[in-house]
Amino acid sequence: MASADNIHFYRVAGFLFGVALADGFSRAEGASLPGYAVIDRLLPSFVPFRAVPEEGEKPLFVADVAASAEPAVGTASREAVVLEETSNDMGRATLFADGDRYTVELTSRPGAAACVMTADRRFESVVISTDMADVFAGQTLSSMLRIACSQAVLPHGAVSIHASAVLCGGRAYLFTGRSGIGKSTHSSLWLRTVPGATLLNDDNPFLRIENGRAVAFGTPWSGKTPCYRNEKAPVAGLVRLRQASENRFVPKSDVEAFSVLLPGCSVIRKDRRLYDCLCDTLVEMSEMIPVGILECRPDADAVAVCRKGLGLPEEPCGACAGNAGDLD
Amino acid sequence: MKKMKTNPGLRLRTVGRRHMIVKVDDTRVNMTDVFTLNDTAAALWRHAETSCFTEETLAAWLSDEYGIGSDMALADVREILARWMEYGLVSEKDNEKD
Repeated sequence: MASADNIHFYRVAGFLFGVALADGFSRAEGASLPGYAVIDRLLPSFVPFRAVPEEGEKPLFVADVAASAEPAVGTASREAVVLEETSNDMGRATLFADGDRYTVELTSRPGAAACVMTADRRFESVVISTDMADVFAGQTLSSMLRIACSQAVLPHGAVSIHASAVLCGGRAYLFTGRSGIGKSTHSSLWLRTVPGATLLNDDNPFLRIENGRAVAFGTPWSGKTPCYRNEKAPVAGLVRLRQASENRFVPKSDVEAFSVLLPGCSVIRKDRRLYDCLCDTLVEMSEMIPVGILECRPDADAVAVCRKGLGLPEEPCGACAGNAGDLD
Repeated sequence: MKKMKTNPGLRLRTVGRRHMIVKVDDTRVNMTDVFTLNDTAAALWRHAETSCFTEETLAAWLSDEYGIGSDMALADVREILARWMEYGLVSEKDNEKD
């Protein structure tokens, strides 16, 4: 168990959580480094999200992280049932239901030791074992924390969504769609053609209902784009992208808006309680956020069509020269 | 008379002025069905989910509630239950252990 003074706290979307590194981490570094030095090296994208708990504030969870090539704790038992399996550029993740706990195994590449996380069904008690010798140890740890956070926030009117998000005029605009559809491309077109537009997050912003408004938050998780901004803005548009030969915006409302929001959200689908929480939140958000589908080409006109569909003023073309984002 | 019940875990929700039931598909990966219901179907669902029912008890309720003839009510209920059955929203109660 970690003692209180080696817990490192972070706040994402207003939610406090902690990470407690076992002694093995300092030893692996070859020296006892003070404060956040060890963890900052492991989790550089978390630095902007460091936090100090308020008096008496209870974190969502404190993840106990053990440095171990042979995960002693948490390996899924024989009775464990595979709930989900996903593969992406971060590696292969398998989610097991194991008695009253969840187990997630993450392998950064074939043959690598698995990083294992176990958590109770509420993601309040989280234990992560990771192989410190693995060069991807920090990345897998970051992914595990993303999974834990994204589930732990669901009962609190918040959700982690697979989207690219831009900030413009103090408002956030989110672009969703299946992998490879061109979310980042569309975002970068906004940065290039809309004066003042900046990237908030390129992969996993959080959405949260605050004072009757849907608000988007930057997070430590931004896919391949290092954009870890601890900032927030009210959401003024959420658009699902589809590739097409012509640019066209189709506004969606009510149940159709809900159906546009749902697919990009991170949830254990077979967990009835978490899924119900997500649906409740999205029902509210469907009425707060202008939602639409953008059939689009990867060109500047797609941005103009999208902005028009969301009821935004047209930007004069050419006024944006030299405003290219730093994504290329 | 076949006894039926709404399937567990399904909840009717209202979004704006529309009603829906979200159903996670256990057989297809990452598929979720969102069913839209009109006001009458939503009212029928709310009544159906309170206890087990038959075509006849639902039709009688619909007939009373909306002041329509019992034949028409029964025809409407049969049509909607056939669809709910096909979509996996309701099932027959007889063959189940409970």
